[in-house]
Amino acid sequence: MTTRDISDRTLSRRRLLVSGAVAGAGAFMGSVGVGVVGGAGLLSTAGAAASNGSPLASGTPTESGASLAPVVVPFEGTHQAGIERPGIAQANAILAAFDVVAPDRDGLSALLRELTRRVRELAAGTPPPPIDASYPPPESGVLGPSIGPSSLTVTVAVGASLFDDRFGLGGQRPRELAEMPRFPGDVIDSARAHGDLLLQICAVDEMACVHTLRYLMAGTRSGMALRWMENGFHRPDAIAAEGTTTTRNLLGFKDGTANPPVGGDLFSNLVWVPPDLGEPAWATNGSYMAVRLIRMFVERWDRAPLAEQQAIIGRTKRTGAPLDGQREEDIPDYAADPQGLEVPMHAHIRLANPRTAGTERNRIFRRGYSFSRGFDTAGLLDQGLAFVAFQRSLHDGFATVQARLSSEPLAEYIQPQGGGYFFALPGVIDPAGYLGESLLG
Amino acid sequence: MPAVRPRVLASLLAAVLIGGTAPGLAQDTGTQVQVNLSETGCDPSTITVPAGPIVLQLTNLGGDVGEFEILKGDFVVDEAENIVPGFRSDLVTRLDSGEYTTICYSTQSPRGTLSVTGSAASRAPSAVVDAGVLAGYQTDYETYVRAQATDGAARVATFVAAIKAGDLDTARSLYATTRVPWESIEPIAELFSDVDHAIDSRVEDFSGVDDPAWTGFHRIERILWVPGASGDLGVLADGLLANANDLASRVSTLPIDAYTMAQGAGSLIEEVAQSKMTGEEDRYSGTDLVSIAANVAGSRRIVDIFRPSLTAIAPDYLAQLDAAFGAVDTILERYRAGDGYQSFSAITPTDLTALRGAFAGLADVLSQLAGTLGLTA
Repeated sequence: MTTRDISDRTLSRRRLLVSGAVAGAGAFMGSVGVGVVGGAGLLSTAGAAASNGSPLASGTPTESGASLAPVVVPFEGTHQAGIERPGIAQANAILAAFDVVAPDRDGLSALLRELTRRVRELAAGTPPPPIDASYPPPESGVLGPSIGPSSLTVTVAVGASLFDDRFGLGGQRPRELAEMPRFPGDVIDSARAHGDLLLQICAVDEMACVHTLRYLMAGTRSGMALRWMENGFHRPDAIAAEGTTTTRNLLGFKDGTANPPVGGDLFSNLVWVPPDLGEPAWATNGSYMAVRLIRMFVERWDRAPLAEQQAIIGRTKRTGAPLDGQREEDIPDYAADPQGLEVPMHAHIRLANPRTAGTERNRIFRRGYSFSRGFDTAGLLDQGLAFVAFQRSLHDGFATVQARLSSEPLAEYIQPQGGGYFFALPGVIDPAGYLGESLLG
Repeated sequence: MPAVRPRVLASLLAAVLIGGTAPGLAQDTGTQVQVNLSETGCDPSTITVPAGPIVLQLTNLGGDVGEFEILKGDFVVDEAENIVPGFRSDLVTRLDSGEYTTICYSTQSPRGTLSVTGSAASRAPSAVVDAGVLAGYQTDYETYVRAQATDGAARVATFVAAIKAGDLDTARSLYATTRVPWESIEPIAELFSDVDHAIDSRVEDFSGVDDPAWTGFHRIERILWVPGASGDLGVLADGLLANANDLASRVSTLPIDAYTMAQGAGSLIEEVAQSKMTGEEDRYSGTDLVSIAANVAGSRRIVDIFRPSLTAIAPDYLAQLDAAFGAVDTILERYRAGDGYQSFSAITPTDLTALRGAFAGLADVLSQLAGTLGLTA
């Protein structure tokens, strides 16, 4: 399980400072503030909010909720948006995996160019062109006449299957990109796993995500066909005591607490593929993306004693503090607890991140979303976590962490059912460039 | 059972790992004490150990088969029996702080004392039920579990004999009832994850129906009911018997604490609610209701063992429990057929919905059991 958006003490403090400025502007204007997110975290300013403030009201501005107010997240960048930009993950997401049906390499290139064009438009909040009523409207209109900023990011990733013999890309496959193996306990439904392309669409609300998906698909259906999809959400509360993270998973526990701080050197070293790691040159500044659709057996979990829940996770449910600490940001001291009397040896947080020098390289950046997809044939709620983790090496990152978790007691309450391994393409810097250009160009 | 099989029931993990009897765990993780047994009792006759995991290395220096029992008052907290002269037997247990007496070699031999100090790694005693009473419940349940495991191995032997004799009609007729003891103690059996995986895995745990790693009841079930299904029935049958015997052997020395018991009652019903309300457990034979009824019986047995204390401290809760079991029984009874049950597919949609509700309701009530008895992890 696991995941989530942000969460680091440093980040939280910065977020509070920045969000204060935006919140002020928004609140005074009687609408939600609008800012711009820069390359390395939140750079929203009161000025941006004032100049762009529009009646987008999608929520009530609150003291700290403003950090989640709609902004424009620039499409261009060394790295794609939707990973470290914006610094706090948007409230809603759609993960949509596709099989590429374009017949050849030129078709794939055309697909990615069109996809890029449409993503660019939406990310900038460009209003749709005037409508000639004799044609179908150019977009769904579900956001009204002004699509406006919605903190939209669309992150495009490729699966190992794209590198088969269809497009002549066999020699360009990132070294560790393969079909996600079956881990112990996995019950993978192939209808909810793998794919040639993955779109991670994130925005401030579900309507904007749906709007984006429809607009992107409208121009690309001849090139790609839906394989699986998952709608995700997390609670958009940035309201938290200083030094705590803001999101909980559907087990009710804080999640993502141990993420590396967004934008720092540690983050960069763990997440982005560098030019000197033996990967194909085109992959530099991309990132391996592990996606896991993890069912949580929430009824059963809700019937487990609190003490057992906490022992399984290793944190106090209410505060998020590790069981040997007082506050969420406290670092568990496993060296002082070699027998697991405070934090059990098989607690999720202890297995996932043993906090030793030797396991630092295994840290991953988690940016997942909860899902709620109705109920199953047994009448049980079908809820869980769309786990998404970014790392520069699957082997050093997710795969090693998952191997450590294979014996965790939490496994009784969860079941990975889908997902896949993908590679998030490098960002596009050139205003005329397109996603995947370094691969296909 | 859920498709997630090679896993250990979380609610039971702590208890058994600390008990030191789970597979793969070094048995030297506790305080080790060497004790010689003979006609003159224990040497040493007075033992003092810190609370937590303890390994008693018992060597029989007497002339006859010996035993060693740890008593709290009149209740047997743990024991090692049938130690052959000249041989050593390790009793792995965990003890809360307090004074215990020991039966050394035989009930006629002088008794010893065992003092357990501190409470470092001990499970907190119940706040509402006397420790001696709880110890008695544990003994009762251990006896039940061992009897079920032994009976289960015996039934498997009969089932396997029919298969080996090529009498597949008999094997099919025995399949469901062979599984009953196993299902009645499923949360305990699952503590031995390797055996559990080998005995009761569903195909979802593997790459497909032909995966050679898939063994146990359900693969045999598939071969018996699905024409042309792959697998060597004889080899699978032999393996099942070996694993059933292994389980019975391992369970015979497994200490089960009261918290594990209480959580086990709920786990049995959770298994049903989570993965047996779709007819997927015994999908080839359609005998799910037999398995389900066995889960219910195993859960009810635990409640019945706790019943004296529940009657005294929480009669209203006990009434809720009985009513919740009754609701399940009412629906299951409609599908009784002779000694067994009709096929899962016979359940009407209305009854299936009602049954799901009844099991969810029972699981809800059972989730309060450990708390009501003052038991914590």
